[in-house]
Amino acid sequence: MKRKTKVFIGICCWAAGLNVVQAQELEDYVSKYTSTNGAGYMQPLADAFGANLNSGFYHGARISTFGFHIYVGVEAMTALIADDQKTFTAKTEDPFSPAQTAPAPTIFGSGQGAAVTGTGGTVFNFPGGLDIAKLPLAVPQVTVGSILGTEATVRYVKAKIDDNIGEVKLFGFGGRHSLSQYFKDFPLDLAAGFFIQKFEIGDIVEANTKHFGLQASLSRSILTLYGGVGYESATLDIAYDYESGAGTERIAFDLEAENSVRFTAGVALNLLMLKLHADYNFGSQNVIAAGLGFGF
Amino acid sequence: MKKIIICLPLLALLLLTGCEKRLFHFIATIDQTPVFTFDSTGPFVQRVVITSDRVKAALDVPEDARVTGVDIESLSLRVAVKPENRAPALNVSGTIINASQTRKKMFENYPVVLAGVNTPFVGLNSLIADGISELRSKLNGYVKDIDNAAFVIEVNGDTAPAGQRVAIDLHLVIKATVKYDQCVEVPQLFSSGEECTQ
Repeated sequence: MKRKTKVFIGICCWAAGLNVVQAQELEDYVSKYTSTNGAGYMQPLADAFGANLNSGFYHGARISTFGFHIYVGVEAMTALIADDQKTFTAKTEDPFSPAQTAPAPTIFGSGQGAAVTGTGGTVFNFPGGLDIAKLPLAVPQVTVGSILGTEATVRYVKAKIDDNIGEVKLFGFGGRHSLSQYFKDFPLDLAAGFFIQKFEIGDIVEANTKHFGLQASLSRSILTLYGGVGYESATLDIAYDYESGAGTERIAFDLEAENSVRFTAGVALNLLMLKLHADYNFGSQNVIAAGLGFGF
Repeated sequence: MKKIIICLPLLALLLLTGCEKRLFHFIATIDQTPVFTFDSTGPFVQRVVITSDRVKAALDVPEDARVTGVDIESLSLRVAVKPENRAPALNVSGTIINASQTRKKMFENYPVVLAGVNTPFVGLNSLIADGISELRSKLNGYVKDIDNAAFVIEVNGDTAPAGQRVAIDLHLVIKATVKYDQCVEVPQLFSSGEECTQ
């Protein structure tokens, strides 16, 4: 699990915008788990990372019908790791004997692994986790509008890590359309939108997300209260070649995030060109998101 | 181990949080697969010497890691049967012999079916604690650099029924795990890992 753990550390460090990340040559890493346990170990990462990516698209529902507006900012999100995301039921792998199951840490779980004893005093060790309670992420975001009450939002990051790992890339785009223009007397601003993203670390990690939602907001002076409901999906695929004395083995995990429906409640401050907002997202994976940007 | 320092000047805001070294517990796998070649009629025996250098060559942990222990996870047999083989089955025993010639059995009279199977693979599910403990102790000594004396693994047995010609390459696959601690640089905001005292 050393390899997966450090790939994960790499993801997290990138996600946090850290300028210094330590990782190791990928071919040096060893995978302790194969697909069954690996999926259980990594599933909470897919849930948290996918929920993070699907956060912070909006901070209000007011979209003018025509006229130029732009917002350039940084969106920061933190997935809150629940206790039930810290353990999973792991199975010993052949040829360890006798076959057993045991509660073992996920990648977010305790740093101390679990172990079971087998024939003749053999021991099967389940790796520990990173023992963390939150997974942060930050991304740059630009929103431009509007034509016929429609605006577009883009997220984009591209950076080369090294020749071995390759590039980190994030590209996301989406659009929102004002529904308020069709309901002139409705007291709240309303909008509907979608957002699609693709995140890659070389050819090792690929995450894809989709989000569709309805938003509503109420603005008074510099304050905007907003909320929304959305349907979302996220996948996280991790694949690499593990070379050992026995040959090369392809290790691959195709994970699907459990989060599907989310509810959002937040508040935004519009201080001339400075925009601040924060919201809480409820779902099977809860997320706190905040943004800081400039726009007009 | 080479370390890669990656610079990603993404977000000045979050860079302010800085990073710190924290202690993490890792597991690495070391496999040893001594090969015993048999081409004889009736009982057979052969020895393979396992050296400290051989084990360390298979060890893949960072230079700044601190090894905390070694466990034996499993022993198994993988057999390549040659065309000359006439034995339908074997009973195989394995013994570890240390530098002072102390012998400890790891498995005894384990049945291995050869007939009708291309490359039989047998997980050994009745291992003997004394021998496994000795094996663990030797590997632990090697990876911690507190023991450099070589040891011998002896595999012996007989065909079933007795008196048949056996012509095989028998691979004894030893899977062991090395537990180690390493300080890794992570963002402070993770609050991850344990305090690093290395």
